[in-house]
Amino acid sequence: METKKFNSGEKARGGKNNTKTILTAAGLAAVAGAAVGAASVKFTLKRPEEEEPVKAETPVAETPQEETQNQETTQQPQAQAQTQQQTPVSGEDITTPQPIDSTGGTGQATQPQPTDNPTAQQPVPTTPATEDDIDPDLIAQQIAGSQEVDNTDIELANIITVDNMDIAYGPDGSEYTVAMFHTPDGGQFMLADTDGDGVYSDVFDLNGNYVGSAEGNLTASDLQEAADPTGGYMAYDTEAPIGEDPTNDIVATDTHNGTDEPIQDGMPAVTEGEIATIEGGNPEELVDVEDVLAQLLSSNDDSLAELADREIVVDDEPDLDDDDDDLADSDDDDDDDLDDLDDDEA
Amino acid sequence: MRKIISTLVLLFFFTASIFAQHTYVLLAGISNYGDESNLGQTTKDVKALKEIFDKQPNTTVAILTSKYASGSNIEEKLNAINKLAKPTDKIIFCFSGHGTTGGFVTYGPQLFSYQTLAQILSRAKAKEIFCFIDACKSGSVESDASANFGFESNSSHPGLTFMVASRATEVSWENNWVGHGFFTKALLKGLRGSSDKNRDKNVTLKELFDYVYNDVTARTKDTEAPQHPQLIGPSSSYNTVITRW
Repeated sequence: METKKFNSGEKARGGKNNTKTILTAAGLAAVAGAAVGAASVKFTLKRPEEEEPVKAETPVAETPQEETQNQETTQQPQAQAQTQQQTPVSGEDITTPQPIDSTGGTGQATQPQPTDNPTAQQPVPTTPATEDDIDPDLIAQQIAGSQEVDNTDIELANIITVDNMDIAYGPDGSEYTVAMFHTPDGGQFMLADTDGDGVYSDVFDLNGNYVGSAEGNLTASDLQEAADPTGGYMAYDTEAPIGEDPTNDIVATDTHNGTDEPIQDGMPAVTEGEIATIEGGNPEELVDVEDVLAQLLSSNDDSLAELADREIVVDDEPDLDDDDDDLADSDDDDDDDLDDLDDDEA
Repeated sequence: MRKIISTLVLLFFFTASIFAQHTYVLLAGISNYGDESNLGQTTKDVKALKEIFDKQPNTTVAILTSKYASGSNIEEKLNAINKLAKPTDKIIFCFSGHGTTGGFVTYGPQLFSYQTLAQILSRAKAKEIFCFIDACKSGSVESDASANFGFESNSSHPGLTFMVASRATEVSWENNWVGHGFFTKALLKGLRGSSDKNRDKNVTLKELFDYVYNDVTARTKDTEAPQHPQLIGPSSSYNTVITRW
């Protein structure tokens, strides 16, 4: 692999020893080959109704995904007139009311908070509080600012952790913007958009060899958001992909589109019996969601059982077939096809 | 004279702060339902949302995850917010977890119906209330609420708006490559400014929805189960600013 001194005038942030990052011809050819025989993208079913645990698959995986659990932290008690601080203490969840200043904003604690911690430095009240001492607004403020984080939250590690964006070059000198990332097991790779469709779907190793395709149709904005998880400002996304017309998925309730029926339930993404795929799995691995839903909500509560039953009725709707496209394109004010929707849907 | 001016200035800012719009945000995400229906991105969703809302001025943010996101606890927090929020304030509720027709699934598991949610929020004095729901079949909020509770009835809150992840019959996706639910991922980017079409550093509800809808439908259009977010609420709320930068 030929390398040249990186000389873009920009700060070198990627590659090795200021050399150009090269995507090999074999690697780019492998991308093309993979695209020809590519199967449909596999996604993780987010919710319900199935019981398979979410398991990650990665085309570059050497190690399986591992569930990560939050480090457990808890609030130390507030010392009088001291600002609120957090000290990690293993074994406990985060469960605090968040003190709020007089203007209603979150702010520094200016008064002690009740706590059971024996190391508290706040004064112990000498007289029991009476109803007259209880400020309901203060209590409401504390409740409204609650931080209650379960230490057993399940948070699957991201497959990619973006390190930086860089430029890579093809054998013919073509430039490709790449995202340098590492996997949970420390593997370092590049994610590139080699076909210019705005989707970073091709994974290369640092030698420029193609290793596989990425899932999720990741875009530049996805990578930018992932690279900065602090929640700060992001500029307007000029490379946003073109999606569908949202008109038929907007319900203006002040006009309510002139009908009591939902204006677009028309093209069910799943058929009767609720079919869902599990993550990384074969689409043929179907799960009867009704059974799973019943299991999920199984309890002695008859109302929930009734809802599960109602669920079956609601899902038992006619197959709208090709009429779905007509519904999608229908005028909001007048569409006789809406009358054909099952009233039970409501 | 200088003291008088200083006092007046301080008084002005103090008064302004009292009457400034305040935003109350409640985030609820459940990844650990305690059984085989666990999810992998949902509590990451709400924690990432917290990072954004924590940066907003005059905003109180509460977060409940997994075992703390029970129906009763969510209701308690919403009632507290209802008590505090003035007519000029704004309420935002975000949920990420399992969902089904008519509601989302809280820790328990229990069904928290959209009807119940609308009823609780109808008691708020705040004129602007926004619910962002990332759950399967979340579009059923429209059919459920309008049929059983009624956006058109006087019992509903005229300023209640839902932005949900999918149509009433669709599932909502999450993915380890994306690192979040698809709807929440778009929401995160949009709230942070990616949706700010007119580049005025104010993200309005309509700007946000247009961006989220575009992002989610583009991401899922070639899959076996496309996903279409929904915006359900009064058109008068479309220009409401959700985040400022």
